[in-house]
Amino acid sequence: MKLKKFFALCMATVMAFSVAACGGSSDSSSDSSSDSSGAESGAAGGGGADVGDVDLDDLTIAYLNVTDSLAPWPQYIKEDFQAICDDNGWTLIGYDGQGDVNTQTDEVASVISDGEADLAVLFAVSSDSGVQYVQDLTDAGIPVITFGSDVSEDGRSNVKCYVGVDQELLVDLSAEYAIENEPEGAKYMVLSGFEGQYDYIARSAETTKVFDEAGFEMLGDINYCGASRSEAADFATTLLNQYGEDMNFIFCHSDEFALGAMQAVEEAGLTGKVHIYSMETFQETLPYLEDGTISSSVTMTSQAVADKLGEVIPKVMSGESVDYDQSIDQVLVTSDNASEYDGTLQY
Amino acid sequence: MKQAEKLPVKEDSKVVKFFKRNNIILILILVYAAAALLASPGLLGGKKNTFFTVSNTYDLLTLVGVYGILAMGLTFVFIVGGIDLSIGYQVAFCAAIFAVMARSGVNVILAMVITLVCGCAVGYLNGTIVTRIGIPPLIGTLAVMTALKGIVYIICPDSLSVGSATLAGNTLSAVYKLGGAITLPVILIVILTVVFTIFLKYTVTGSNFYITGGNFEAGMLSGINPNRLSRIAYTLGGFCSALCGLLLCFRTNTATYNMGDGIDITAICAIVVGGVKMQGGRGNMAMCIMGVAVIQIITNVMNKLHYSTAVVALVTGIVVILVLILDRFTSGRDVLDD
Repeated sequence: MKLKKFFALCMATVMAFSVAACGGSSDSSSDSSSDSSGAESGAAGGGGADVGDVDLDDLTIAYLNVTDSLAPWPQYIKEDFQAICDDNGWTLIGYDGQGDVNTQTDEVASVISDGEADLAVLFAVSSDSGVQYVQDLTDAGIPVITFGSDVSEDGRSNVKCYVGVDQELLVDLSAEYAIENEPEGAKYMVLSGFEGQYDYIARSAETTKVFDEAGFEMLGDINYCGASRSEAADFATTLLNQYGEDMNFIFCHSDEFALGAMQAVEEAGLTGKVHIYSMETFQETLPYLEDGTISSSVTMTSQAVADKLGEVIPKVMSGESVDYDQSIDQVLVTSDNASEYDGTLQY
Repeated sequence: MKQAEKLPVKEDSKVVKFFKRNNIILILILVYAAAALLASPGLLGGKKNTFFTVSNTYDLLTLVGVYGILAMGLTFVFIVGGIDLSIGYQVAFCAAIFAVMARSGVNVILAMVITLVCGCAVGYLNGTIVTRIGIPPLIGTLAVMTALKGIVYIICPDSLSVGSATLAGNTLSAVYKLGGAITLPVILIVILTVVFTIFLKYTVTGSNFYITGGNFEAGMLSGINPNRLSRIAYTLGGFCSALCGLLLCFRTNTATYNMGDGIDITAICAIVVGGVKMQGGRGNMAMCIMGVAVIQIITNVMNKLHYSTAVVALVTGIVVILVLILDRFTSGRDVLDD
């Protein structure tokens, strides 16, 4: 009998819930909120959906991030961009892709079905699947700006502009500094991030190309350390034990790995003999850059990406023409200028 | 003594009996109602309800379709008392193989058939490792998962676009949306649910799956070959993983190295929530699909309300535990026997 009452109560609750939920629920249907009728033609550098008649003071932005938590860079871009949105009175609807293409695909579908966004800014988990995302968003009348990592070339005609890092330049700045400072035929090892992640693949390809052209010899293969400093230290220790002073330098695809490499070099008693070149300057590495323990790094600040987004969005949404490529400034940091960055970096 | 004889025997009503046996239906109704309430304008300060819309319902059906197909494969494995931890990477492996063939200009239909055969082969390999070599399924399928992960990283180090591959003149993503709002996964899951249900309920092999999972020894003594049936179940699991991989590949025209990350756990949770017993011998496709629906509704509504990933994971975990507790109470004797 008690169970009967329980079920009856459940059913009554369901009815109540449904009535409550239906009340005032206006079905959005699959149409986007950005009304393309009478829209100004997208005059921006890229193509994509026409920009509708949008009030810039009441802008709703779907922010499709590659991850909110697995890596600091996208995490801080979001924080910095949130502050810019708050200042401008824009509404930011955040989506955490969790580094997973399936999750991000679901999120794109959600942005379209919700129909709330006037604009989508996309840091795609995969540059290839990003092509489909921008296509779907454009078909739904939502203009798209990519940031952090661009979509593959096939999809760029649907993108207003790309804001982010020039991965090749990032590698080139630090690699050229290494080429200037290392002897001919120098031997080096590479510490990279996640195997399979677009950014690190691009950095690995450029590293190999630049140093091959310089006649340098890579010891072993690219070592993928995920996001782990200790794994970087382990890889470096192994190769330092094997090659010792025969190794001239360690080339790191992030300061996270440079800090691990630094520890391994120190433990091997080779500080000053085996040099470390890096990128993605951290606040934590600045003292080591100042004293030369780490030879170089390259800035790639989240604030710069967020600022650039804040700068181009009003232009794009008012139909103004902008260049497709909106790369942020990337600067080589060495002992000469490291002190200038002290206190300016988020992490 | 006389008094005791007069005590009326408590008989559960038909409704109660039904819900005791199928509490996933009750759970599904409650979860959907709770989701609708949470997303209601009343609680959101007048904001638009983006959960209770036609377009979101179609999205939900698509999600249930994609992940439901994967979960159905695993349901076969569960029914025979096994487990397959490699399904996530089977999905990624099959998607990668398909993408490689499609971008190389292999006929898409042929590529699909080869992919499905590859999925079945991996499933059969799992079944063989478990039944012929005698390695516990948890360890054996974990090893296969690790090997598949390595292969996927080699084939597909970042992501592989299927390029300009078309099927009957349509791009693959267009094929995925061929039915408009009713997408290909929804159509497929309806067909597969019917086919698999008939297979489990009305064929000797299907019925013997339950005997294999329920009592392996009795199965042996009654003359069926439980090892062979287990291999068939794992092979069907591989087939469903391959189908899921194809659908995910069609959806974005791309295969990625981490395509299978996490979906294995989602499928396992969904099946457990659906009431399919991990110990084997109990479960059906309807339970499985409803379990998937429960998990997808929770994830969907939490995403609509813009909760962080951490909160979504926490809530999903709590719901799984609550469902298991409810299951313990409502189907008391069965569960205790397990």
